[in-house]
Amino acid sequence: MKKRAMLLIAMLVIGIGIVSGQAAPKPANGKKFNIVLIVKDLTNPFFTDMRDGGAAAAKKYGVDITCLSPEKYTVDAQIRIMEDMIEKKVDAIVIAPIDSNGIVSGVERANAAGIPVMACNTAILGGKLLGFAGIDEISSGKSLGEYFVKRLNGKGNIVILEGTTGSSTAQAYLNGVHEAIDKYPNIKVLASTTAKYNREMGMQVMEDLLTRFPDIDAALCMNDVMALGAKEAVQEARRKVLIGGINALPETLEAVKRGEIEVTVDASGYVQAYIATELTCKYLLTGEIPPAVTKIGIGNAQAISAANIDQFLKSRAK
Amino acid sequence: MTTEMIPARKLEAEGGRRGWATMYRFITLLLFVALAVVFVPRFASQANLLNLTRNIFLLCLMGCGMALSMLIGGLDLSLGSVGALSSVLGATLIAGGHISLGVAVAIAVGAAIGFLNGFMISRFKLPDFIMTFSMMYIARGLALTYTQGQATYNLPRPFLWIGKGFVGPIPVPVIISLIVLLILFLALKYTTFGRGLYAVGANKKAALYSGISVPRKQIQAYTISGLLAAVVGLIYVARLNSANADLGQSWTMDAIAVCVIGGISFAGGEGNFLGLLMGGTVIGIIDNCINLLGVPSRFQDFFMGLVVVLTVTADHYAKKRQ
Repeated sequence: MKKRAMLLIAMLVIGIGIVSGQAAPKPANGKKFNIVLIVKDLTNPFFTDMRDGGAAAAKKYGVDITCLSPEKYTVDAQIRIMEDMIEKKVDAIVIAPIDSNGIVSGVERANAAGIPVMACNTAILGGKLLGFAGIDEISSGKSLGEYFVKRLNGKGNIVILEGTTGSSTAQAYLNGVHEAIDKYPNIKVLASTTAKYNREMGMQVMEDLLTRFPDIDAALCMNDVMALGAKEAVQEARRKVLIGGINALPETLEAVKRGEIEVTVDASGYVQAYIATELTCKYLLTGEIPPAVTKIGIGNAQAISAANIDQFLKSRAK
Repeated sequence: MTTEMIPARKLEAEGGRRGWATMYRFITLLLFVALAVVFVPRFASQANLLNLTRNIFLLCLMGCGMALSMLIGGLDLSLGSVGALSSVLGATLIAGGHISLGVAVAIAVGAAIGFLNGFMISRFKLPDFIMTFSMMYIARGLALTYTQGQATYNLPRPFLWIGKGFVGPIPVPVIISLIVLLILFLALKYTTFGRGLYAVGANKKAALYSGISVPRKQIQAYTISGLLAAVVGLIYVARLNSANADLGQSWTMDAIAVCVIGGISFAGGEGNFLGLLMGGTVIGIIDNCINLLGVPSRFQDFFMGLVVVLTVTADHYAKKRQ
């Protein structure tokens, strides 16, 4: 709990860095707006980050915000929440939908009631939207790739542990990594194979790759769970391989601190919700229409490594 | 086979065929190893053989519980989920420093769920498939609810020995697996408990008429299967130094593959535990070689399925000819 809180503070620092320099518009003629942020699952730290990011943005603009999440991880339950909120006549809805298509009927009902809907984190494929703001997997993959290009000085042997073959996220992460490393001919991809986003497979596949290649400089894993599995294999084989993951799980951050994992990428739920909420507030207050898609850039898919984790932990300690 | 054999004759015929079937499987096994040694670079390196041996014996251990349920003509689909639930529950205590208590709780939970499977199947005559299929979801759901999606990690060092340790040159998981295999092998061959399992699997009615309590055998088989699922779960938790509700997603299918290749019949009442060693070795080698050969990700599942089908087809063909 404490760790999570510290992580949130770190997110806050990043968030403030992003929005500082922009003057906040004043709330118009005393009316207090009331918006709702609907996330997917508040038992997952990623979404509690989102809740806090949304709250911080709303506070800055003097808007009231409520964060809700369905008890069951289903899009139907999210739609029921939307209906209740339409009934309550909120001024706007910011939502991270569980399903891009399934949520559309809820969006249409909000449209009919004249309530603007902003999508966040996951796109919505229908209805009338105020816009979408999110970090895509390509940016996270690219951030991981760029970190290793720098770390290896543009030269080295790497292996890639992919997500579940055929899933859209696995392909997007991989595309992002390649976007970063393909420009460097001396970065040699020895193998790129699936470990199905799974810890056991991460360990087993890494064991076999270590056997197959006597010289591996880095293992780029398309999520933290595989990276943690790969770490066990590398330690058992007493080899020196730099391991990178994506997600910034608390468990990985501790491993980064201990030097067992080189880097993890944080696709900050905090920043995503902050920006989506900010755009919504601006629309309510000034009528400024946000762009259809706000891609929260690579700068925010932050690589957290030994170089900045101390700073990270220091800001958390405050 | 056009006519259905009565159980007595089936067992008799089985006795005559068993020698050949076992030898045949042994030959298949040698062929696999030989192919791998010749064609797969670094297969025979010391580090690889160590990893491979450990994985093979873990596969065998997964296969043990499944084999028991298959011997009585059932199927335990809940194996992976039960391994996950029991070990995440145990891991909380282990992480708090209560290692033996945590291990005991995990094993007790595994056995209790197994007992429940067996009880429902025997008492309410639920089909094995339906009961264990439902339990697969129930146990996974409970594990997810309990952990809230968070992993338990940084477990105490003495506990990790179960998964990472060695006795002399032999990894601890291999020793645990060997002990379990040996006990089950002897129990099935030389005790009334074991013979009863075979009899129930071969023909439930005949077993009943010869005075064997069928419900009791079913409960015994599933309880041991659940208990072993917990053991596998604990070993993996120790290997990964982390317990998570998504543990063991692939175990059920791996265990079935090990049993099928090892000659445990889906129809029940047929097969022995030495076959599991062969099944485990074949699956272990395929898994290992997929990565050593660099089989592309999109092709791996296909490759695995193909080899299993070919092995089992050849096995059946050889038996039939005999």
